[in-house]
Amino acid sequence: MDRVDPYLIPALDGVAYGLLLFVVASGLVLSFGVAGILNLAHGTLYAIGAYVAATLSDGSWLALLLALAAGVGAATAGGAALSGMLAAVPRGDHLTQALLTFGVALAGGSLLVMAFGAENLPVRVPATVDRPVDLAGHAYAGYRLVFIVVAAALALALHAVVNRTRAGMLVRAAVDDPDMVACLGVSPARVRLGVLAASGALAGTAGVLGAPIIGPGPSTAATVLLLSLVVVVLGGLGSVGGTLLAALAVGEIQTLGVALAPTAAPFLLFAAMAAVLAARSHGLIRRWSPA
Amino acid sequence: MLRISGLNAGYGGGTVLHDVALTVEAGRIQAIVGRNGAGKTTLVHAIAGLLRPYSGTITVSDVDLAGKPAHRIARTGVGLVPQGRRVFASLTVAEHLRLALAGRHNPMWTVGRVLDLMPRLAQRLGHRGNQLSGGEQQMLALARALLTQPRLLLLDEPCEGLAGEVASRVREVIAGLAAGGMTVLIVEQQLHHAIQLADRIAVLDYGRLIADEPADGVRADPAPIEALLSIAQRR
Ligand SMILES: Nc1ncnc2c1ncn2[C@@H]1O[C@H](COP(=O)(O)OP(=O)(O)OP(=O)(O)O)[C@@H](O)[C@H]1O
Ligand SMILES: [Mg+2]
Repeated sequence: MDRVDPYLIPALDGVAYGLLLFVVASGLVLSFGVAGILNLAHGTLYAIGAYVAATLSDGSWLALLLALAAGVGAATAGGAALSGMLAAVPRGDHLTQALLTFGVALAGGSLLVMAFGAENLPVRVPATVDRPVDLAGHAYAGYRLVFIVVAAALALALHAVVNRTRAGMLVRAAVDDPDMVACLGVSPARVRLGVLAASGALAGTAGVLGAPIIGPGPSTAATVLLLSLVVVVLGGLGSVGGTLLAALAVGEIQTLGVALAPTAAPFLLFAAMAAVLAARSHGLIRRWSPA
Repeated sequence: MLRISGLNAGYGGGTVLHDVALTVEAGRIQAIVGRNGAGKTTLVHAIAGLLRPYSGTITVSDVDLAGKPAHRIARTGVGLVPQGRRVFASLTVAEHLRLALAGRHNPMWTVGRVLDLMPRLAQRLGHRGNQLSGGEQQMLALARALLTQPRLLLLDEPCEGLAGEVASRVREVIAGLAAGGMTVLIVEQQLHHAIQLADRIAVLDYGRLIADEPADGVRADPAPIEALLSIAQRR
């Protein structure tokens, strides 16, 4: 017990961090896996949610709900706008997509700094959960526990949507063979709009709820984008479960890894990524090339 | 029903189909035969909108479809059963059927009617696309296309890789569809299979349509078409 004890808190932090990355990265998986779009502005949509949370939060649940509505709405609209901008770019043309969305990310980042300043903003969580909870003799941030529960529920809900609804059916079919989906009479433009809006909604949800964990600031968008790209590479595009496992692994590397091996931790993440790429390069290359 | 004229198509600037012209009357089965790489799939994809032709016209019931996107063409009543079947690996049979039928009003083809035609699928409703045998996948690809309520059905080597018995069952189903008034364009590699099924047989060679004959004549004397195909093969 004594040898486990010092690592309980970092391990739990890793779960919270991992679930946060899961919610963001599943948006990225959706846009890349279904619509074939490499969206480098995805982190910016998270940042929008986080800034909205920082601006509106005043320690009440009502403010959090308002922030959720406004932040998710804004990020969803952002995703839909990206879909419009990308309409003219062919499906397989990842370079143009990357350049366009990277440009949007740069411009969006500057606009956010203009609007909110170049400081990292503090975020207040609802007062009722803004106190430490006792966990096996350790004090642990109450909000993080709540976040873990909410994010786990989101993961379950996402799984259910993908596997049980008509939209989810369309999503899986489009991952398998987008041409055959078009041959059923479904417009690829509509699929792209729906997917990018949903992807934005996920980033916005993560931004608002995760703002106390990865807070809004000038580097937020880049950090979140980089980590979720790592999750996508590790977890692949095949399943909600794969993304969840990869996100939890990245979360633990970033928290428990730092506690266990402070000097090696910065390399661990990319070593894991390199190992996966070396072992699975075939699968990934197939997915990454235009269908 | 289907009228193609002056069709040129290919990939990345290279031309595969040269000035193809073809007419298929309503309710008839038109077969396309030709060796590997002759351009049969390219022709089917150009009609279905999966490939944008360089030039030419493709009309179905006098509506010009050339260059329209695939989902528009599908909605005007063109169904595709692609080469290699391409069923959705992660969707169950039931999900395929539901997705294909979604949003259609007063459909001619319902899930029940499709399952009556291919009862094998009814026993596999909960299986995913990648859990089916080749014959079952072919039936599913056909069912999926029928549920889009096509007037013109494009079939690209539907019996490829199927055991003899399963292949004849698939052919039976296709013949039944045509008897019910469906217009069918079917790609076959084997001339004798095309003869069994089709009303007309066209030969595609190096992207050019070099023959288009009534099947009765070919049945009576297949030698000229066989000669064309073997010349094509030897070249
Ligand atoms: N996506 C593609 N990109 C470039 N060239 C292609 C592509 N698909 C087919 N081709 C080329 O076009 C030509 C015609 O191919 P197509 O698939 O239409 O032949 P096919 O008659 O259907 O052959 P098979 O009997 O093997 O199915 C071939 O030379 C092929 O290499
Ligand atoms: Mg072919």
